[in-house]
Amino acid sequence: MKTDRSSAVVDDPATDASVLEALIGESFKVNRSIASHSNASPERLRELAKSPDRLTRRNVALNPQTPKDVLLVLAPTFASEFFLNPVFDLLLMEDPNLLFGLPVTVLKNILKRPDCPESILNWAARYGDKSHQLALVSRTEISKQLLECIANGPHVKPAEVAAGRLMTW
Amino acid sequence: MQYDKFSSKQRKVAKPAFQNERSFALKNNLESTFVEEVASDDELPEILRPGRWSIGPKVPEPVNIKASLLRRNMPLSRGAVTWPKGSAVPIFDFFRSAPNPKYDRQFNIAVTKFIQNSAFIPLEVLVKVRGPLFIEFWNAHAVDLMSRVSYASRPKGLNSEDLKWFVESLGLLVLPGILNVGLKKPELAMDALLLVDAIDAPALMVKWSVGEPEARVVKQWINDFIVAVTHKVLPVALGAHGWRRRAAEQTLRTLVAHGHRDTIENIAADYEVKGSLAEVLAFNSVEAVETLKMPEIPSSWSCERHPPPRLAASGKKLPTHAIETLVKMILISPADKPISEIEKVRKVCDKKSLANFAWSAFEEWAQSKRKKDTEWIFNSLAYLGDDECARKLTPYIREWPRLGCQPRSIQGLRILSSIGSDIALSQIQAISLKNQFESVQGCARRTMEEIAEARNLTPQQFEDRLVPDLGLSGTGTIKLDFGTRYFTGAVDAQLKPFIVDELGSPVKSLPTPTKSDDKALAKESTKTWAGFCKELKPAARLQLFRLELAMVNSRRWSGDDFKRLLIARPLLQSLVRGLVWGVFQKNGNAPLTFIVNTKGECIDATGQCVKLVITADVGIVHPLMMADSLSSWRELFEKNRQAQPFAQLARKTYRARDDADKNLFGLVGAIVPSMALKGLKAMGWRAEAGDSGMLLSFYRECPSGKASITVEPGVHMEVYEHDGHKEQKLCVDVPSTLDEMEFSELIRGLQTLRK
Repeated sequence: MKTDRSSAVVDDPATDASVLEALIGESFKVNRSIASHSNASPERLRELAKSPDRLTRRNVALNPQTPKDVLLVLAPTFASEFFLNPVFDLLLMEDPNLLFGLPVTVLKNILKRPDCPESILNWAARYGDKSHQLALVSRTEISKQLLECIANGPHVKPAEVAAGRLMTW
Repeated sequence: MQYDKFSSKQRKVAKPAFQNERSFALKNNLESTFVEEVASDDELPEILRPGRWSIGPKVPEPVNIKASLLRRNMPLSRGAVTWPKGSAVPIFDFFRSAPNPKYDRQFNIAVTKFIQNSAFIPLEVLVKVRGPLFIEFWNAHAVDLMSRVSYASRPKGLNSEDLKWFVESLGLLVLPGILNVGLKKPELAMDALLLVDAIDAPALMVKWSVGEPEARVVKQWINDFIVAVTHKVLPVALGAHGWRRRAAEQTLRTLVAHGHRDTIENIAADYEVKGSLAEVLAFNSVEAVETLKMPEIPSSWSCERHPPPRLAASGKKLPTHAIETLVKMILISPADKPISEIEKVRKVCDKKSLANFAWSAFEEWAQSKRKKDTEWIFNSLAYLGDDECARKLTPYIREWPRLGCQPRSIQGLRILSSIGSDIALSQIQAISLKNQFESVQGCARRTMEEIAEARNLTPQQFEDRLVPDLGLSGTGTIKLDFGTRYFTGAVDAQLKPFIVDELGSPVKSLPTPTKSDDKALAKESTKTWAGFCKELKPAARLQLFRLELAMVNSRRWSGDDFKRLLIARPLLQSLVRGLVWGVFQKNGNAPLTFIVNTKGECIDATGQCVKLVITADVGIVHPLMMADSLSSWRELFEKNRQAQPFAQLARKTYRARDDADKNLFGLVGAIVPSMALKGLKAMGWRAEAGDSGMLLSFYRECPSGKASITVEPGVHMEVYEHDGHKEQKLCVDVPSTLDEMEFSELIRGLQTLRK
């Protein structure tokens, strides 16, 4: 009964951060709601990122209030949530080297996904290293502009593959 | 435990419905070809019936050469040491200096006492045993000294390099000691003995030529020192039966096979045994092994644990006694050739079942991590293995050196060579082109060269003939029949598989059969396509790599070979169509470039037909050699949306004259990841090891010069990120003598090291 009441409170978008803070730890269900709440404070989200509950951590990865360093820790596990987070594009604009903090394999997998956001594709074509660009040129769907950008880039192998693909464009 | 094809779970399910294994197998259509029935003795071939394989042929009687003839004809010279070019080391002046016998004798006694009482002998003490006394001392104590001498960088005794050094420094004087070491530890003495053309060496070397992993090396030695070898082995080859005689006979046959019959016969004439020699050479000693004691099957091994070989005609299993006879035949066969009875068994048995039997025995051995019983298990694979065995064995060959079992890898290559099918040979080819362990790669390369030489081909020409068809028809397609409809499978220019339906529309994958389809045909087609795709992957990788290498190395084909071995090959047709080829002129002018169209015709950039004469020099044109035609070809490929198998028209090229900053396109002083330097080996670079295994420089020999790289702070040969250094600073030195294409490819390769 208590949990139901708490759930109702945390589901209210107007609930204050201090109230949310008081409810943390009541149940996984409540924690999940707090993790995705727009008023959750960065400190509490940092705490919730360590939760044993996967869904709670997933919601933290989606929350725009989550601090950058926490997002980078969660990114390998919740790659799609990481780049679906609304703050992602802003962070990338602010720091083009942001994605270098991710493990190469994670980033390569993100780059190969059909739902990979345009901002990451652009980043990889401009600033990515050899392995990122190779992952990018192996995508079935890729724009001509990106291929041209890679073909004129400094990395030999991706440039050659991109130029080869441009020949059959 | 009785071998059973079905798991216990499957049996539990199956037994209530089908009371015997035969009906189970038939009902489930799992073994449509075979039945579980065991063949009776009457159904067996003669050679496998009980007690039939033990009759020994008449072997030549031993002949003793007269002692007087031996004394008269045996060379008195002790022989010579043959140094490899450039490695001759002068005799140590230290040992040549006139000794003071009185002082040295006393000193020697003191040192001998010291040696007898010490667990380890510092090398500094050993070399104080001066002059000829050292030789005496070494020859008397060589075996003991091997494990007990210690010095700074080698605390655990002398190794084969030290022995080689002794021979290089002191010549034949130290040979007795080395021969003594060889008797105990062949692997330590072999390198040193390979330098020696001496009458005393063959006794050991000939022994090693039979069945040892080093046999190939020893056989080369035998061919280098024919006279000394013949003098030594001839009396043994005619003498008492036993392994020594067999080894000696085999040595003489090896020499005859290499065209030295006249030399051997002349020496035999001196010993007045020319007739006996002819008898020995004519006699197949492999048959003679039957007269020896029948081998025992290892007690830990049981044929019950393995899928039995079956008769090809009836599909019936061989009985246990017949399988044991087969195993004994394998046990008694020498490594390089099975006895003829095995071929008789192969003729009457189902080849697949023999291969399964051999593989099962091998797998059991591999899983048990047994060190013994290797030879016959390996031989069984060599004699009975098939393509599937070859494929499954290759990962073991690649992996063994990592586990410190390099000789096994070499034996594995021998097995692939013995299986001899296109697939088996292409596995050797793949290892020869790329392998982490240089020694195994080198051995694979030599094996390829030997096989190619035996067929009077260059290794590259031989590789052309190893391209598999993988079931593709002459037009490069494979029909996948579903009964009422069919699909066509093929490969594109990059050797990736694709399927189209009857109307030519692409299909992602073969569909699930519908009611109107013939289920059996559809199942068979699906299986065929899956098998094709599985085999295609490694074959494609190999062919793409090989042809890119052919472009970089300016490989040329004759017009005739180009048509037969490239255009006409089903697997390569699409690949060939995706490249620009050229007819190269003898005068060095720009080549006449052309492509191959779908009809197999050669067309130039203007669409005109190019007629290829059979003697034309045809090759894949490097973009640097295309000059003005490069842009025309690019346009044509863009217009046709024709993909290329590898970067040819889109290849990055670098010309020395375009290097405006004179820093080799940014390579001088470039920072690269330490791990990237591992890729240098595959590009043909060799490392120069410094102190403590540090690699500070690399070099590459190109036909027109030698390039070198120095790296800072350097990598360790085992741990590239040594001491946490994740990056290296490059200093590249490229000679000005490099030709344009070599320069471009070298720079391109080094550019790929960058992160």
